Parts: sequence; C-alpha cells; structure tokens
Amino acid sequence: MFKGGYQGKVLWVDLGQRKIETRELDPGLARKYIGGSGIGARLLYDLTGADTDPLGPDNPLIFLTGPCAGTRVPTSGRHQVVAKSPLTGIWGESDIGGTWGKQLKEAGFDGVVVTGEAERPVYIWIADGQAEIRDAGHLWGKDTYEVDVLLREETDSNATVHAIGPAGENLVPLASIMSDGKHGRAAGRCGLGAVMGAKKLKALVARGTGPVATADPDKISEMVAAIAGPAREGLKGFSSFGTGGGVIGIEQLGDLPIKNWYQGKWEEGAQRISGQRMAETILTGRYFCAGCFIGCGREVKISEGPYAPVEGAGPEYETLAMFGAMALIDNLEAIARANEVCNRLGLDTISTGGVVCFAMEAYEKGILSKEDTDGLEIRWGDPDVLVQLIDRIASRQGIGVLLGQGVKKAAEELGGLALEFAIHTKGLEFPAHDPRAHNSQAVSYATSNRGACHLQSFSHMFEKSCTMPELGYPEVMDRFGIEGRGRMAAVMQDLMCLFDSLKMCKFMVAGGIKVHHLVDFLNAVTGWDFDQEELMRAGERIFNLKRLYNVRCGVSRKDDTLPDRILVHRRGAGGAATNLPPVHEMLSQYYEHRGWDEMGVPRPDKLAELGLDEPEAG
Amino acid sequence: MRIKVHFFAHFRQITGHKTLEVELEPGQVDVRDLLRLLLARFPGLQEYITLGDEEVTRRTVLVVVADRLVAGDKELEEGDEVKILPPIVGGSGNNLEEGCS
Repeated sequence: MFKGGYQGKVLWVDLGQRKIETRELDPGLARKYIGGSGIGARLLYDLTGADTDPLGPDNPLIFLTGPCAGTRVPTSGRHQVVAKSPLTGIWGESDIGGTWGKQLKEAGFDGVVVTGEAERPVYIWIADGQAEIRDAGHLWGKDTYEVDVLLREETDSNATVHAIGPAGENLVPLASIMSDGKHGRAAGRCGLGAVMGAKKLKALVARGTGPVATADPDKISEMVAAIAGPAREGLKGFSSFGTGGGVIGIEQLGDLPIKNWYQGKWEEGAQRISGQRMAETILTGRYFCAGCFIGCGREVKISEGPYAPVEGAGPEYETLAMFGAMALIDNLEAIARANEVCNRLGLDTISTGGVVCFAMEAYEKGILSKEDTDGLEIRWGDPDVLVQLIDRIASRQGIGVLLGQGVKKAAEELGGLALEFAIHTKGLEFPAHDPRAHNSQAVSYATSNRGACHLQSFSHMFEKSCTMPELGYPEVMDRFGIEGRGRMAAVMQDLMCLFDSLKMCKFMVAGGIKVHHLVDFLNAVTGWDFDQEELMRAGERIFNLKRLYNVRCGVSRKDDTLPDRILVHRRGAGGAATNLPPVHEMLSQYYEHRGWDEMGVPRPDKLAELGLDEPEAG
Repeated sequence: MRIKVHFFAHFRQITGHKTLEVELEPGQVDVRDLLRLLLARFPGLQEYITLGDEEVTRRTVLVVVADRLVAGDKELEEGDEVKILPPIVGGSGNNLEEGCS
C-alpha cells in the first residue's frame, strides 16, 4: 500500500489485441526504483532483450510519472518516456515537461506501458480512471499543433495531448513525441517518436481531475513555502530570458558548438540569436510546465516576412545553438521558424541540427554534391536550406532519407572523411555543450547511457556555479580540472537519475536544491523513511541497471568515448581555445569509482551491493 | 590598479558599456571588490547581481579572467581583463538554505 505520491496503478495497453488492463504498481519496486526513469529501466530490462527490434511490436513504449507528480512539490509535473531507441539501438529515454504527466497522475495512473502494434492508426484517451483506444485515421498525417486542437475538441478542451507528427509516422529515428500543442514540450531524444509511429499510435490524451494523496501535506507546504521564493529569485534569469539567455555567456566560455564543433568563436552571432535578443524582438510571453514557478518556456510570434507565420513555442537554448551557431545562421526569425517546423513535424531539434550541420560540412568538403541533394546547395549559414532539409528529413524524401538516420549511420553510409566529423557518442548526436569547455562533461558524455548527453550528469553546472556539499562538492570546481572528475561525473549521474525518477526539473539544481531537499520531499510525499544514503544508492542502482541493459546490447569501453574532433582538435579561439579533455584518464577514474571492470562491465560484487544480482519480475 | 572590464548580454545594456576601464583604489584587490564597485556605479545591475556567499553570487553573475571562471576572492592584477557574464540560468541571489531556516 502507498501512503501517498503513487496512485498504485499502471495502464498496460496492448495495441495488437486492442486490450487495456490496469495493473497494480508493486510498492517494493517503487521504493527500489522510485519512478520515471528508474521504474522504466526495470520494466524495459525485463520486457526486452538484445535482439528486440526497436520498431517492432515487442519494444514497449513506457510513459511514467514520478511520485511527486500532481503534488505541490515544485517542478514535479514532468514524466519520462522509455523504450529501446531506434536511433542508437540501446537504452532510450527522454524527459519531458509540460502538463501531461500531471494530468495522467490526476487521472489515477502512475504510468502507461504500450505494447504491440495497432493495425490502423489509433490514439489512447485516458480520463479519470478510464482509458480507451480510439481510431485516429483522421489524424494521421497531421502535425502536432493541429492534432492538439482536434483532439481537445474531440475529448476535453482541458485535456493534454501527447502526440507524434509526420516524422514519427514515417519512422524517422530522429522523431520526437510532443506535448501541449503550441506550448510545445518535447520528448525529443533517442527517436522515441518513431517507436510510437511503428505502433501506429498517434497520441495519448490525458485528463485528470482527481486528487494525488500525500503522506505529510503540511510538511510539503512548509518546504514549498521555504524554498519557492529563493529558488524563484535564483532562477530569475531563466524566467526573464529563457534558456536562450545563456547563449552569450556560453559562447564566451567556449561551450557553444560552432560550425559543427570546429570553430572557436562566434561572438556577434551569439548576440543576434540570444534570449536577450529574443526578448527585444519576437517574444510575446512565457509559459510554464505543471507545478513550475520558473516559466522558461518562450512564446513568440512572427506575423510577417519570409519566416512567418510563427506563433507559439520559441526556440530554447539547445535549438538556438544547433540551428544557429552550429550552422552559422544568425537569423533569429529563421531559427524560430525551423523550431516550429520541427515541433509540428515532431523532430528532435538537437539531433536534427546535428545532422543538418553534418550535411553542411559534407557538402563543403565535396562528400555530398548537388547530385546527392536534389539540387539543393547545402551551404553554411543558409536558413532556407535548414528549413528545406527539415522537411525532407521528416518526410523521408531525397537527401532526407540519408540524413534522417542520424549522423552515425549517415557517416557510415558516406564513408571516408565523413566519419571524422560525425559528432555523436553511441549514435546520439551531441547536445549543445562542448566537453572541451568543461572536462567533466567529456566523461559524462562518454558514459551517458542514452548516448552523448549533458543532462545525464549536469556536471558542467558544478564547474560553473553550483555546489553539492552533501556529495563532497562544497565549492564550485575548475572547469579545466582533471583530478576527481571521473568520480564527480558518476556521482552527478546518480543524482540526475533521481531527478529523472522523482521527475523533478534539473534546473532546480541551479535554484539551490540540494540532496536533503529531495530526501525530505520524497519522504513527505510517500511517508517513507529514506535517508541520503538510501536515496543516492537508488540513483546508483538505476544508472547501473541502464548500463546492464546496454552491456546486454553489446556496449563496452569501446563505446565510452568521444569523436576525435573533440579529443584532438583544439577550438583555437574563444573561451576554451586550447583545452582538450583527457577522456580516457578520467574514464579510468570513473570505472574505478563505479566498480566496473576494465571493459566497462559492472562487477558482480557491485551488482550484489545494489540489489541487481537477482532477476525481478518488473 | 587599472582593470579592463568587458560586459556581455543585458549587462551591456544596463551599463551602456561594452568595455570599460576601471581604477581600483588601494585596498580593492579582488573580484568581489570589483563587483562592489560596479554595483555602486551602475545601480541597474543590482536587479541582477547579488553579492552573497560564493554560490549565491555565481548564481547571479559569472566572472571570467583569462578564460577561468573565478571566485570572488580571486585577486586581480594590474591590466587584467575581466569578463562579466550573465549566469547561464540564474538571476538573483537568495540562498535556499536561508529560506529554509
């Protein structure tokens, strides 16, 4: 029995059989894996094998909230989407904000596990304890903004629509799953939209009006009252300028990728695409995820000119960097347009930006020519080319077929020098933070279970402005330091597994949240008696379980690395002009701390310590 | 001691300067002294920059000297060039622990 937090119920939807079943959530499982990413890891490990086809009916698509969703715990309305990734062929997960997670929880469910494959397009309608599979033939081919409007008309105007666009329908491995219509939030990474498309599942629509019980509501109220004000003030920059407010500073630190990770500086361009410039030009408002007081979402509008119309979600930092600095495009309106096209078609802007810039370099080097691109001249800095390539990737037409596979497979197909500038780890395109500017991110990217990712450790924040005294980091660390960075990356990965499982926003770290806040919130919500050690152990268990999943898929030390462009090419100018992260040295520290062997496999004693040595019945 | 200060993003609009030569008085030796001086000269910065403990300060402003992100107690030298950057996410500087007490 749960005293609070969890609803204790998970929907299991078999699309092949058109059958919906409500299963009890095992409290022991919840305590061991918390929620979101953690329970998702356990389920995916148990439900799939090394041979599971990511786009086949045997790959489940798992949507999970955390124990705090639907409660007053700040920023807890997020959820996690988990499946074997069609982009990388290994562990796949994506964290998403918006309001869908809260709606699902208030509808009485902690998660939804979708299995099988529908014969015809369908959507799942979930409302206050009920769920049904409905026909979606009339929605197939429509973009996510259109589907949001249509499905809320068809169900409940206050419902939240979680949908794929044409890219997911076309099984593009860069496809995202979008939520909240024009206030776009994305489960962008790992191509999970293609998993949904393969199941012919257009959308999951949720509406919940029920309560989410908590064990100690007074304690939660007391904590929220204590931290909300200071955290809100501490994150004021995000509120004012969105995540794009960081572009200028990040460029100065040499952390902004420029020209497919080759160039060192782009100061004027960074100013032209910044959140500050957005605030002066196309910004019309901001929006919030459920339970959030930060409001980093940017609402923009472009009514005239070559990139009109744009109305709704504006580009975030990652999108500004990947479509802007990476492609040398300094036209903010063009980037906003490309962002909206991606949101509508359902494409991850990070991977899409990565592969477009890869194509620009391939074209510059003569590896791609006009014959390969249907006459399109894929030149740096051309915003029209960017938008055209996005369309072709989503529709799998022409050059879009090659590029839609992501940089790893596109480079393997092109061969030769193309392999030198395909910037990914484990098949996942780099996000827009350069490990040459923050050494800990090198080992974090190398070992991140879903492939290159800054959010799986968030470790650069501890080399910039944040501390975590309870974990041994009372002071901000030097970003070019080496000593101890392996341990630091591992510890922060464990911590971030907790954020991904509790389903709280990691930006709260920059707002001053420490480990004891997480412990107190979890205990107040659930009535459990976690201490810091047990909670951090859960984070470590979750990270190691994902690693085990990947080991089973063939991942080992050979995959825990970065492209040579990052390891041997100096940026040459800017705030990280000469630094090269010694990833293999840090990796050895990392393995030692993790209790993994020299090949990157968790040792049996470590697995026993974490309670991962026994098979579990998800 | 003369220091060259480079402002970025909205700090540039608030101060009206892209670059500014600043003269530190005797006894003004470190980054914290420089920030204190800048806050006094440009009150508009006070909306964004808070001088608190190190983490609180860094939540509101990042200071770079010779490509290194530096702490408030970093001693400055004649001719240093100092970049004043907005924080990547922050804005104002209340301490969560104080809020909890």
